[in-house]
Amino acid sequence: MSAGSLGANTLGVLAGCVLFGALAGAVGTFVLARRRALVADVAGHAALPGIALAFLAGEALGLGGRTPWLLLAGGACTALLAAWCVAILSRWRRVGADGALAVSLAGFFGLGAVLFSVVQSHPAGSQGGLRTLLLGSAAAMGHSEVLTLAALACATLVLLVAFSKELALVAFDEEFARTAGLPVRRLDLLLTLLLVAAVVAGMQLAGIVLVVAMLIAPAAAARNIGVWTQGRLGGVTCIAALIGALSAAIGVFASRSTAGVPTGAAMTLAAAATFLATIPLARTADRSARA
Amino acid sequence: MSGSLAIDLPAIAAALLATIACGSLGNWLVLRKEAMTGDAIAHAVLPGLVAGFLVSGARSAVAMFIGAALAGAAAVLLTTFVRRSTRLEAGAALGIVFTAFFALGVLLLETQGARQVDLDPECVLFGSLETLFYAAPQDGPWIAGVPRELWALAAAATLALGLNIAFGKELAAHAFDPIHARLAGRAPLLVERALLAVVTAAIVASFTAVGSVLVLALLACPALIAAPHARSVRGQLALSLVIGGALAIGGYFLAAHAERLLGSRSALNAAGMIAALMALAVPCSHALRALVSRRA
Amino acid sequence: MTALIGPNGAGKSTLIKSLLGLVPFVTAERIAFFGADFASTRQRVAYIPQRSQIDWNFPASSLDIVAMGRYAQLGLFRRVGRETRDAARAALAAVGLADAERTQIGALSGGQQQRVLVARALVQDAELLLLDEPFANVDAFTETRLAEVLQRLRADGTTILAVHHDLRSVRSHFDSAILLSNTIVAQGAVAEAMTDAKLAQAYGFHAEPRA
Repeated sequence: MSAGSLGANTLGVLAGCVLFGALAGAVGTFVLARRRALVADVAGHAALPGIALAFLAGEALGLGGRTPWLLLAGGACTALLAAWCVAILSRWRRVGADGALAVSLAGFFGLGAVLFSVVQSHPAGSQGGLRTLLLGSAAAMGHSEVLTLAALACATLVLLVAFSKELALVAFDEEFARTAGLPVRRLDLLLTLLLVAAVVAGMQLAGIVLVVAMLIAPAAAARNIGVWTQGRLGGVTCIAALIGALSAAIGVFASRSTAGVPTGAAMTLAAAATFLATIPLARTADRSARA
Repeated sequence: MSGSLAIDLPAIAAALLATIACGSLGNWLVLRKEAMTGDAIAHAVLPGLVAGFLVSGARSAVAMFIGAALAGAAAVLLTTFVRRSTRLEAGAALGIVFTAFFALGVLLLETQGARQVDLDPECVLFGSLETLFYAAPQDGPWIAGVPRELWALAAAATLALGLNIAFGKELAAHAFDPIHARLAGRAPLLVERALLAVVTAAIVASFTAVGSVLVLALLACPALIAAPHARSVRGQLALSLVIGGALAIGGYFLAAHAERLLGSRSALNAAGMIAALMALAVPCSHALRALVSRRA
Repeated sequence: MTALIGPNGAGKSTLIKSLLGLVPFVTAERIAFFGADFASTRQRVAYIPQRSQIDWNFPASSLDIVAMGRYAQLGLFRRVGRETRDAARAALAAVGLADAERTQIGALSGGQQQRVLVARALVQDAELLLLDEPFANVDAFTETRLAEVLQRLRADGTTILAVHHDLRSVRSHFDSAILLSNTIVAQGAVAEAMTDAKLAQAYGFHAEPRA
């Protein structure tokens, strides 16, 4: 992979990454508003068993284990299941929200470890696949992967924009939304779907462990910069999408120019650095509000 | 030692020691409603581990531990700073800081060429229970053949039990009402920092043997399994260790003998199997409790 | 025995929390407890929060929780022994929970839980008691019992400052009041501090009628 070469493949991967970054930032804003940041963490880890199952099913059905849409679909299914477990468990006494997250994460991730040991003993399975999934790699993205990502991203963004007002209301004032007749449960389900879609879209790029950073850090940075109210959430979302896209681009360039730098790590550090840089802005806003 | 025993015994010992270390400490995290802190620390220590490895040039356990402790402390401080400066919710602050640290660790790992077996990301994540074995030494005491991971685990387990014995009541008071503990307590900050330090030590000690997949499970699940039945903090601790230990042994054998039981071609990942079992046991335990109280 | 009263958002709970160092604040004044810094006189002050601040799903009996008030006196490495348990039992009896000592705190009623928190403060043998709305949302029995306990403490020389939620019952429980509305509007004996004029000033009765 020579540095600076702008072949069609590079542009395609870059476009895919930037699109994912924007998607993650946008969805992440609503996830942050609804205080579900760690559900993204769980979803990322929980995709692992689904991907393994999809691989095995693909091999068994003769579809070929590495079909992108199949793997994404498998990952999305278990991620959704995990999010559902979190929702159910957090309502139980002596478990709580934090306990629900930890149990779901441990259970699905453990299952993923078990299933991947099956995959790795499969003739078609390989060691490299797991590593790419865990840490992400832009280089591993081929033409079909980019197209799948683009399709998923567009569909998700369309849904997000269509329901942005309702989602914002539920995030900022759940009680009022309920009395206003909004189907809060279904909107939460929609947000979970969008979250899972963003996580699954970014898994190949950022890796399952780090994808949560791409959802939360740009959104948190935008929160420091913009006006964090229900009415102006649209503006914050755009800022978050921009920061996400930039971080993703930096990640891709860093992984191409310096040998060995994994894309996910570079993206995450770029996004986190942006967030840290915007902290002074949050403090000033705070002080002027108190004055 | 006979063949299978040389492999199984060290692995079971490792799993049990990790259960004692992480499982007992997990009770405090769960009681304080900080179940995800374990996940956070487990991710945050990576750059410290790698830095310690690089600085010491070899697999110096001490250097790696110091690095991990510093990284963990830095991450906790940074999270506190972030929350105070931006009033970001706890989950989001954790999610950013600890993934950033993990990313830094991955960066160091991949670019500094530290691709030794022990620092292989997959090993750190999924453990190496299947490959632990006892190698009887040609000469010298039999104890020299014990895999070194077990020593770190034994130390961690001892530390954890020591912490429970020494600071049990302060930890309980702090978990119940942190404000009251801070106001009326003897040395509130000391106890809290001791807990975080020992948790970090247990996580680092457990990484290479059981992997972060099982560490995460141990830090939350045994405590949550025991919680619905517990009538006292001590009771919850004891129950969590007993059930945790049983599940660790059961899960290990399930994974090891999967060939016969599940028709799989090779041994399944033991750490993952134990983790999945423990996670499954949580809702089962709660359902059992609900059934019992309905009958009563 | 002083009540801290005022409209919602007037800063009553915040004031107590600031005094205890739980909430950061900036002030030019020096705040003294018994003539010294709070840090050195901590052991002589007890704080009783609202019971809604606590998660009562914690695995413990009433006795266990009350005993926690004694931990500071016990010291770091000591076990909870008979002396501590007896002190806890006495405190539970004082608040009328003698036969609930083994009950799981999650199974207690709201009023009983509030009384457990008071009992925990009792074993601290503090000279200054700060309470955050102790009579809010409790049954009549609890209210009477708590009032009795506080009166007895006051007779023994303990100073009591309580954030109180209900204007009507101030007279029956307290002998002086501080009326707060972001600043101190009035303080002194109940009759002086709670005149109509002062209350109007604090609660804004003369404010423009809202459309």
